[in-house]
Amino acid sequence: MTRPRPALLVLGAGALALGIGTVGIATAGSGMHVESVGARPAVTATATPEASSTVADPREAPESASPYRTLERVDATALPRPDRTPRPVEITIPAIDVRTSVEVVGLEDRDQVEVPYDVARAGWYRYSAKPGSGEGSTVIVGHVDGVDQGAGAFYDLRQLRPGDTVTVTRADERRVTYEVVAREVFAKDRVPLRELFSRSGPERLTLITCGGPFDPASLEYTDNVVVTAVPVDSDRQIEENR
Amino acid sequence: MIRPTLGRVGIAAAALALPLGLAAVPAQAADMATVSVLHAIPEGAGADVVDVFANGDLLIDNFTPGTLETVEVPAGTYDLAVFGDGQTPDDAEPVLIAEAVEVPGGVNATVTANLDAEGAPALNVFVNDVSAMAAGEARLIVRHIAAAPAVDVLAGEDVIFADVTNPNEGVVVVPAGDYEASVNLAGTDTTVLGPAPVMLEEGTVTIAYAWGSAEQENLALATQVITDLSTGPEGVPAGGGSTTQLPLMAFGIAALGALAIAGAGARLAATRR
Repeated sequence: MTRPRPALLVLGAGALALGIGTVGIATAGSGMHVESVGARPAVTATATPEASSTVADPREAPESASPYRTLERVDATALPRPDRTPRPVEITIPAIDVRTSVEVVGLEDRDQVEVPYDVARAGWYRYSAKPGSGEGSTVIVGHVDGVDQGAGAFYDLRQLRPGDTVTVTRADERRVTYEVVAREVFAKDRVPLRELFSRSGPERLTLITCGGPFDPASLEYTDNVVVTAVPVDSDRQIEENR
Repeated sequence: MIRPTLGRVGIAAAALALPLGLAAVPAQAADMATVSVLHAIPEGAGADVVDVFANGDLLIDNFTPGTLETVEVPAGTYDLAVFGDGQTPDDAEPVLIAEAVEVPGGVNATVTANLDAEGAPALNVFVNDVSAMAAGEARLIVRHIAAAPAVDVLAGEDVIFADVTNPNEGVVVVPAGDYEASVNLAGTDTTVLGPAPVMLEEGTVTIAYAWGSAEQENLALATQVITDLSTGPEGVPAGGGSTTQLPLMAFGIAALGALAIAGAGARLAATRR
């Protein structure tokens, strides 16, 4: 399979971007952004967990500098079993009066993410993490508007601010509440899709819709609006689930 | 003493080295390699607890059957040696060795300590294909490292790898999802492993090892999972434009209105005349 790697192209584009066409609010070092508020959690930790948790007691040090670093040891006899974690069925975003059902979406032509035809509904990308799974990005997409259906469920996504809450309800009625940490706008050819959709890294919720000017030639918006939220602490989750 | 043929790792790894070198990984990764070691010699074969050394340095301590340890090592050429628990190169002879294993920078490889087809301990080196996959895809690799004859590997009713022999592998990219996996004696309906439900997660390499011994009746499956290799989708088309067309339409209506008013004004002016 020799497909181009969008992640690489995106990184390359980011390096070349030089902030062309940026409007206001952009944070430092965000060359890929049209606009950016807050910060997404890093997907790949740059510091090694071993290094950061090492107790600095020379007596405890292993026989000096081994050139080898153990990453993990696992029981290989356990097979990866089908994941029975319930899927998300509803999303609530009080700050922008959104409460809508969530359907399951996959891929359509040219590996574009399918977005629910009914613009009032949102879609959970079936290859992304499930809420409450403890790791990776849960991706929920929704239309900003339709061709002829007016404003969509995520029309006001661009109004969200860090600190706003988003609650996702799963099929087992468990609610997972998140707090917005970042809102970003990317030109569509600079969206860091690999990172946004990664099932690695800290547990997070990624909401995506369209934004920017509408290009009447391509019949598409030029940008994607991306909101990233992280789960609120466990005490509050328990409170929310009462 | 078993000296496995190791030419394979050098060649395959060289082919992999370039794309890996270009991948968006930390700079130092080009000089490092990821090596997993699978202990796949069943209990009772004299290797229940072993230590693995690489170039004379302890690589893995207290290693037991059915476990997989992953280490990061500098790129280089390695002499691997497996010793009984607590023994070292200074005071004992190794149980198994593999000499001059080439490990290029950026490569991902798995060394298996297993039984060969005849039931003798062996070391094998496999290079893992960790190239990126398109959205929705998963890669399945099946490796025969058991003291057993040739096998077929099935997903549901379909044979996906036929006639796999020790120490060979099959590699395939499939749609991510849940599968019912089983292993049959090659060309027969005799199932020796499974059927077992297995999840092939999107963007993940799942390596299934058939290990153990048919004669000892301890054939089993072991798995190694390497995650986060999906490129992600190509885009999110989440707008139709109706809300931006509204202002245009509004402008149009306003313009028509203005024309109408102007027209009416003109008519008015005309009637006044």
